[in-house]
Amino acid sequence: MIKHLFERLVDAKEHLQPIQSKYRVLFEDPNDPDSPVKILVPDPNWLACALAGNILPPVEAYHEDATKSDDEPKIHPYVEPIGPMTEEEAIEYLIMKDIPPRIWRDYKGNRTILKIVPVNLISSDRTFRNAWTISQE
Amino acid sequence: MSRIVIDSLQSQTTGSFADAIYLTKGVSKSWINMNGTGTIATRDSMNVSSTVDVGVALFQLNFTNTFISENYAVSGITSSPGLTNGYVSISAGSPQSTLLGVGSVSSAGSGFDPTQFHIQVKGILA
Repeated sequence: MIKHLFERLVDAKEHLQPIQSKYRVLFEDPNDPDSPVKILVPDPNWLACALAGNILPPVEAYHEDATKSDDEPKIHPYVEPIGPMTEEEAIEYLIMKDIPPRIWRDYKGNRTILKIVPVNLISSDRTFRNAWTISQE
Repeated sequence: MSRIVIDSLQSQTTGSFADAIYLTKGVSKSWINMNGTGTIATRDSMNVSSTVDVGVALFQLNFTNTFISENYAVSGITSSPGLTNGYVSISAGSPQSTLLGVGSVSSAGSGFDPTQFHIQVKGILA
């Protein structure tokens, strides 16, 4: 019997060391062009689960659940978990899970609105944070 | 794996008891302790797949195991050196069963990037 996803996360919390990612994902929302760039940070405990394998569901399960309304039964806690990922595969998984498809799949414009960058390229000075955009060079 | 199946727990000393459902339904299903300054970073967490730095004082948590609906309860505290009484506000378009958008607000009502940003969420998981 497959354990519920939350049970697997609790087990992982007990046994896995968190892993800080060396990547960040920058993205802009074409539906909200005046907003600054958003920066997605992989969670260290989640990344440990992704790299260990046999904990997280396939990302397609989240996509199927996204078509269902609240209170409808969801499948992602109950489906067979997938095997270990590399960090790069985990970042791609996270993009498809946590960033809206209109950004990573459907956008057809010329502007670069999604970028994976090493964490050291992100400024730690947030003085003009609300003016940050993705460089188009 | 071993499993103890019970309906309730009772204190031998006082006789007070709690139904087991309090344990399964009442615990935090997601929590995070995060630094919201500089390049934002998670110190520790549970059931969070990623955080998003949305802008000054605005953050988003994405859940690994989503909630059954948006009707969960959020509590949190936020602070920075020299600033007390920071609180957490819910962002527009949130909560959702899959994510939570939150802001960090000072007692004066202005947003600030907190060094200590703590959130916990209670509710029913999918």
